[in-house]
Amino acid sequence: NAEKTQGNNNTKNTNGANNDAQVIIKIADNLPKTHLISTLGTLPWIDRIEELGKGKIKVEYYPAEQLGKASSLLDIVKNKVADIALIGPQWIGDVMPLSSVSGNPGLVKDAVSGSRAFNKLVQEDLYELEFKPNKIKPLWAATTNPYQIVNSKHPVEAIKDFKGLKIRTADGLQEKIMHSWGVTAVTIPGPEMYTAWDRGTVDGTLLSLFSWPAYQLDSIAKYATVNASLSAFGLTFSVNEQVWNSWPKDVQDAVWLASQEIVDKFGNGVVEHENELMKEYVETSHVEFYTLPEDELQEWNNELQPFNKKWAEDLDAKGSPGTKILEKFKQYNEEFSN
Amino acid sequence: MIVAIPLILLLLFIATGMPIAFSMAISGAVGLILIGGLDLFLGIAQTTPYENAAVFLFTTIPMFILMAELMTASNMTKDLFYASNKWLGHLPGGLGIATVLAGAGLGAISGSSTAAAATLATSAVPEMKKYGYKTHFAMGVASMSGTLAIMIPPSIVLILYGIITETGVGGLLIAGIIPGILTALGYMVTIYFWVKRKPDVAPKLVEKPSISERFRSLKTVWPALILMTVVIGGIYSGIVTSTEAGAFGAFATIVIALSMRRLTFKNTQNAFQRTLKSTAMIMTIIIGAMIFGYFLTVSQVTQDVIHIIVDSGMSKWLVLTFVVILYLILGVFMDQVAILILTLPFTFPLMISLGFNPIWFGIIVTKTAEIGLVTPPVGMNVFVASGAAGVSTSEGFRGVTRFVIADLIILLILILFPFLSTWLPGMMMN
Amino acid sequence: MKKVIDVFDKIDSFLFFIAQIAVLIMMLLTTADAVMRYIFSKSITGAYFFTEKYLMVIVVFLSMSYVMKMKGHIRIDLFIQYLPKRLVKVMDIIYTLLAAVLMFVIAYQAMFMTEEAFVNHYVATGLIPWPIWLSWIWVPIGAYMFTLRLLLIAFQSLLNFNTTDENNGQNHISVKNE
Ligand code: NA
Ligand code: NA
Repeated sequence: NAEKTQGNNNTKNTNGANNDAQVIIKIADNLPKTHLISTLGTLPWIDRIEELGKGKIKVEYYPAEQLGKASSLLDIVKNKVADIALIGPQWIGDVMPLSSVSGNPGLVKDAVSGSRAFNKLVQEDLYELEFKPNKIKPLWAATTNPYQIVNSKHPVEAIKDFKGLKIRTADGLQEKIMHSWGVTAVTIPGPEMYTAWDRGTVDGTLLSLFSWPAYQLDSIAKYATVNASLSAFGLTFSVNEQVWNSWPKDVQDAVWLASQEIVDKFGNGVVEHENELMKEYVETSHVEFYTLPEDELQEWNNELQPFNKKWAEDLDAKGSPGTKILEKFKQYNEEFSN
Repeated sequence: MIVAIPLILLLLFIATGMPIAFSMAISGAVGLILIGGLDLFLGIAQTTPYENAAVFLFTTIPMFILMAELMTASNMTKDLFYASNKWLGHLPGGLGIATVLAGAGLGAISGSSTAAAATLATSAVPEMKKYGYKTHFAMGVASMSGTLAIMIPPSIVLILYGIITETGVGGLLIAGIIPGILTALGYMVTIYFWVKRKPDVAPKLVEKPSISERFRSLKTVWPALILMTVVIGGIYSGIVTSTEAGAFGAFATIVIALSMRRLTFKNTQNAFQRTLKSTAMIMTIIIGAMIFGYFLTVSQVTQDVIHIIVDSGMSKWLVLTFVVILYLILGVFMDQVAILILTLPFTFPLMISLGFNPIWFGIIVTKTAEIGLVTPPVGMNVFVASGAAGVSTSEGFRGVTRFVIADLIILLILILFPFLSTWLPGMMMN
Repeated sequence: MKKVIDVFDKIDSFLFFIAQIAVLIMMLLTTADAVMRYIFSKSITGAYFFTEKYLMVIVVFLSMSYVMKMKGHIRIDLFIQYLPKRLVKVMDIIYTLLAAVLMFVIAYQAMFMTEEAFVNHYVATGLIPWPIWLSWIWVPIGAYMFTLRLLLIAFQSLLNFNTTDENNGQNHISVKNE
């Protein structure tokens, strides 16, 4: 059948006839191999796939934009340039608006429950809506810990403290929230964040501790919250559905098992790693980490609710089930954080 | 070896006069089709052109070129070189030395070599030619001085290295200062000896101008000086990022030139058209280079070579030698950013495990990238400079030979004396 | 035939004019954004997206074809001077046609992306819901123009095959009616 041959053509088979049953899987992402998503998620997952494949599966891994930038990873899988890719719905909010729900504030409690909740949402609710129409199948999904406000001007303890800050935002929803809280939302390319911050072009950003090493925030940040819930980053590793269907059953089983195992491993890894990073930064850096009091936190979360509501209603108006997805994701997060 | 076919095609196309962008894109396409079938190529062809044009960082290319074109259109460049000639013209290759200085100054504003080379070629090459310098000499100086922009901070290459390898960006940028100055000095020494041995490439002022004549020449350079102050001040005070600096500089040029009544509608529009000409040429080559780069990635030839080096168990200095040679060879074919993305995930852990310093390795990689920018057949800076100055590429490549030798010597010095790269960041970061 | 070429050249130079306007807007918008941010602590909403996703794409793709006419796409001229003139001419025609095929593929593929973004109403997620198809559409427009330009050049080289070529070296592909 035609689909099968196409899938096979796309995977390079370097071995001779005696081992032609080996399946080569090409996995692509945009992150350097040293990024924590890679060390805690992608790399152990790939190892596990090859282990479960018992020699029948060989993974060719293309990290760090080797096959394309973040925004084109979906097209890369659709076009079978790679078989599997890291697809972050928030990077392509135009194409996958519902799946970008992971970026909504106040929902994700921590990476463990957030990853379980997002994985469930992706597999059970979002698959039909936004993955299948794009001819991809999500293998696993996860989230980071919730984002914190990090800056070098003053501690942000109440929402009014945001006013006047210049904050680098990474997606549309963050931009909207910051804008309405009196922040100058600045978009700058990732590579420029460090120098821009250093010279005062921006005062801070929204980020979870997890991403600090990539931007070396420990040497420029001064104040960071630890318990805010401003946003989170959701990621999926998705496979081209045709390619998936071309794989023999045992290969599918191995990939699937490894994928479902990694969700918890990744979530726990993130939480543990952030704890260690925090300890390290408290000792080695001049950053002041502070906890928002319970009533203030409640206030923040109340202020954030209208953004979620607006997000959902805008989607509803376009005929996408925004409210339904938002409620489900809320429900799953609560379910898993107990 | 399927991998060899596209490489041979690339050389053949380039050597027989196919435009560089098409040479890279078409040989890359052939490679992608051979390895992964037509589907793979069609997929790459769908996303690559758009995703490499819609990049904010690349706005530096049209904006810095526009600034240079406007400076030229309003005679600021001419005045600057007139004064430089009064002050440095009696030295062997004096205007060449002035251009190296201009390149270092531009390097402190711009993080992109391509933009810097185009800027210098647009402004300096016609001026040097006017004062009687040979074309290939002028082209060599402009192409080389442009490479300074990726060593002297800010630098896109060093920032990218920092991000990919999670090495401190602050330290890396500071680390580029001494090697950048060393490189600029190396170019000046090269110019000096070149002109000493071949006096016909660069004329010398017969008489050293008097002190008063020299100071009089400065009267005309204040617009350019104000402009430099505004742009450098804008960057270091945090008003603009180094990506935005080109736009800011172009705007400031227009303001200054208009206030001096030095711009007409005609020469302004001409500057915009020339800007687009250089930009389209550069961006088309970048897109072609990316397509070829994807072929190299998918073929896994680089990874295979690195694995052979890793598995061989040779001494760390031998490994370093091979890695440096690999970077120099890749620099012959590929765009610098593509090289970093392709190789660092493999070479960086290897070098660190052998006990090399991450900042120092960053500087070495940047130095090889500088060299790769001017070596044929794919010497981005030479293409860009040739295009911008309207000069043939062979004149460009002819002009860089001596400088490449100087660069190789500087590379060797940087390898042998790691403290040149690590001392300053160590001092300033504590 | 000459009429067709004239119309084509008019369209091409109009697109090139739009690209010039895009460069001007890019300069003004980026400067204004930075200055506003510094003085009034207010950035211009959407400036970044507009510059990156609209202006950059326009600048690159609406100028490619015209720049080919201006002989702006750089090539290495070192070796061809030693080759027989007729061989160089034949190779040029082949190369130009190969390039036309490449640009056609790029245009054709990008057309689908534009269509997909248009049909599905893809918009940016920020404060301004910029339509995505308006970002993509310049790729097929520019690449199709470039394809036609290359075909035109190949056709003219064929027509002029036996006339002596006065300009060899760098600029030996040329449009004669300039
Ligand atoms: Na620089
Ligand atoms: Na090179």
